[in-house]
Amino acid sequence: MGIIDRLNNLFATPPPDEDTRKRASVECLFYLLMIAYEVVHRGDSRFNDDARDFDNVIQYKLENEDVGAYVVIKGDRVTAHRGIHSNPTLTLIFRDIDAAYGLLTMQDTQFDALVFGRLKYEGRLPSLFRFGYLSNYLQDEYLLPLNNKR
Amino acid sequence: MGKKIISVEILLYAICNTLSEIAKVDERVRRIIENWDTEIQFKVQPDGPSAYLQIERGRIIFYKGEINNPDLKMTFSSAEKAYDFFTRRSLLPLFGIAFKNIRHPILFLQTLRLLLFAGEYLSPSKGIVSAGS
Repeated sequence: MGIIDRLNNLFATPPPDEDTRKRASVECLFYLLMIAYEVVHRGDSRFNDDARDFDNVIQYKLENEDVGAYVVIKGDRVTAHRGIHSNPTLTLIFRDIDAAYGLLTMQDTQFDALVFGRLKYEGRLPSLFRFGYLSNYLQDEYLLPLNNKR
Repeated sequence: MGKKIISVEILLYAICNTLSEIAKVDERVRRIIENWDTEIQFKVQPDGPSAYLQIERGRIIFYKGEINNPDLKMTFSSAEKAYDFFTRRSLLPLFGIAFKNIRHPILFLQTLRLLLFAGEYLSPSKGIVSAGS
């Protein structure tokens, strides 16, 4: 195949179908949340203080699927991982890919998602509240500004 | 540690992870990397984060840290420049990076395309993120 044909092929390739894109987006955004937790815990002293003595394994996942990401918090050491943990202390479970996609892209709110059953949790309620508080800080200080273009 | 450098570290790792994921499902990415046996280094100076991609046999593997003698080096001279580039506020940092990789123009351009594709997955509509808060 000539170089021109190869280039034409390259630019003519269509993107994946909507479902595949959504699924990949959700997986990547799950990981983004968890790596944000890891990096901010290491670098932001206020967050680090607020997260003190919060040893947990916290996981996002899709219901009945192996799509997820989790963060292991143990003392001062926090590590983000792809995939599913076998024994998390708190799991936020999305009913399906659309529920996760809607919330991760801010087309849905957590309140609505919880009330209407698109999001549920397994684990201890205090862990959920504390994680919610920390996630709120992450979002306001680091994640939302990424989207606010000048 | 400043907020910008923390944000850059989050973005760098998220983008590298995204590239490794979408190489499995996005034909556009697969076609670009199908015959590559390549290592691409990202680094933020002076003391910022670094990560590299090992691309071979149609797979992209992401590692934190640095590697010796990568084929392409995308080095940002400051966290601010990396932040502006990763958040698409400025393309100016690219000129310096392009100049330093002048011997690999195709690899450089294709890497930029890969980064654009990764961006499609990380900010698919209104963007990131409200889960858990």
